[in-house]
Amino acid sequence: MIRTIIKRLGLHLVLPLLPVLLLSACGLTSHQIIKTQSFGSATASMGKLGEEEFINIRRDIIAMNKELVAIDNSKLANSLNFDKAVPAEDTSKRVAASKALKLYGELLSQLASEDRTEDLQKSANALLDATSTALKDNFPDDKKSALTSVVAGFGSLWIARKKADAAKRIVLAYQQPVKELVELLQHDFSLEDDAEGYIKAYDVTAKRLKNASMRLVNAGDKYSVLERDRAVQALVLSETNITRVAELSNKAKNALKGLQKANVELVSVMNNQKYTTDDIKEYARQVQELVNSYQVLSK
Amino acid sequence: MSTLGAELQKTIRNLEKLRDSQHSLSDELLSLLDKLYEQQIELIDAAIKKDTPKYIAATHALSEAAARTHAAINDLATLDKAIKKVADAIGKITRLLAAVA
Repeated sequence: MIRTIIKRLGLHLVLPLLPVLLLSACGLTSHQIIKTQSFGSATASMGKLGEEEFINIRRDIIAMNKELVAIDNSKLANSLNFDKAVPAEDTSKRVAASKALKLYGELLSQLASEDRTEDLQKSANALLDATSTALKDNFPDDKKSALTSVVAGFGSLWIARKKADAAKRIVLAYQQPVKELVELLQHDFSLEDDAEGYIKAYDVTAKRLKNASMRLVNAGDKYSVLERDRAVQALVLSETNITRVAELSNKAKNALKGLQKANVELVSVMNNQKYTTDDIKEYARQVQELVNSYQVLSK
Repeated sequence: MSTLGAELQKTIRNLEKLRDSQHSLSDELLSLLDKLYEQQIELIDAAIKKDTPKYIAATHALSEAAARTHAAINDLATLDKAIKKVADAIGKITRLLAAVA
């Protein structure tokens, strides 16, 4: 599933740049600019969060599994894959997809701002690199070289009007890939009973460590002070991570719901310019809430 | 029909309640929980088809285990029977996982 989504995300992220450079249209209204910048910022923040948290989750799971082997003498070195359910390859795919999302958000923000052409070119190149990383062998050389030449043409062709048209076209083209990536992230950050994503593996590992440490901590004088001390540390680690899992899942759930809504709203505002000042104020308030939750989440 | 993952989570939640309600921890209960956590991770890691007889049998066994462990929370006298159901479900999950290994 993830490979399909990354594949779709990657191609959809990059291919719309092609016609954008060749066409011109009217500029964005101030409302559209606000929406585009805000959504770009929110998307970039969520992408950055995913990029960091997938690595953190994997690192914490490995650390807890090491503790489990240390305190439970029934476990053998070969009885436990320390990164089972969160292997390096799967993690790097998620990180690459999150990075592409982050770069998409950054490019969108720059398209709606007064950034210099060189910055846009840099962002577009970064997006191209991220897509190459995410797709690997699924990103054919002929397409890659065609895109590289298009990105190289930014400097000479790019003007404000074309930037506005690019933002519109990209937003409309990216609606579906962003929706799918948000759904993937929702799966990975879900703690529902039948969830099978990264946060679920994090939660189960923490609870398993808690269970093993309780056996030692509650065993009276059966174990030495040193053994007991190690078990207490493991218990504290597991409890800390159980709390972190719940917070992370809850905040990601809210943030992703907000991002999903913002995606729909952005597409709507791109297609309909009749928005009132109150709409803008309300949207600005929502975006501020989103930004706040991302900031808390990424700590 | 409920999923295997959902029934497994229910069973684990009930066993955790039983564990946390006891003054002296039962080694058997702790071991069963450890095994279920391990299988939960393996199920996340594995690509399980949900329309096979082994999947259906494991889900059914877990559903019974979830019901018995829930009953045992209110009546500790039924805990032994509940533990047997859990052990039976563990066996069926083991066979399911072996089929996809």
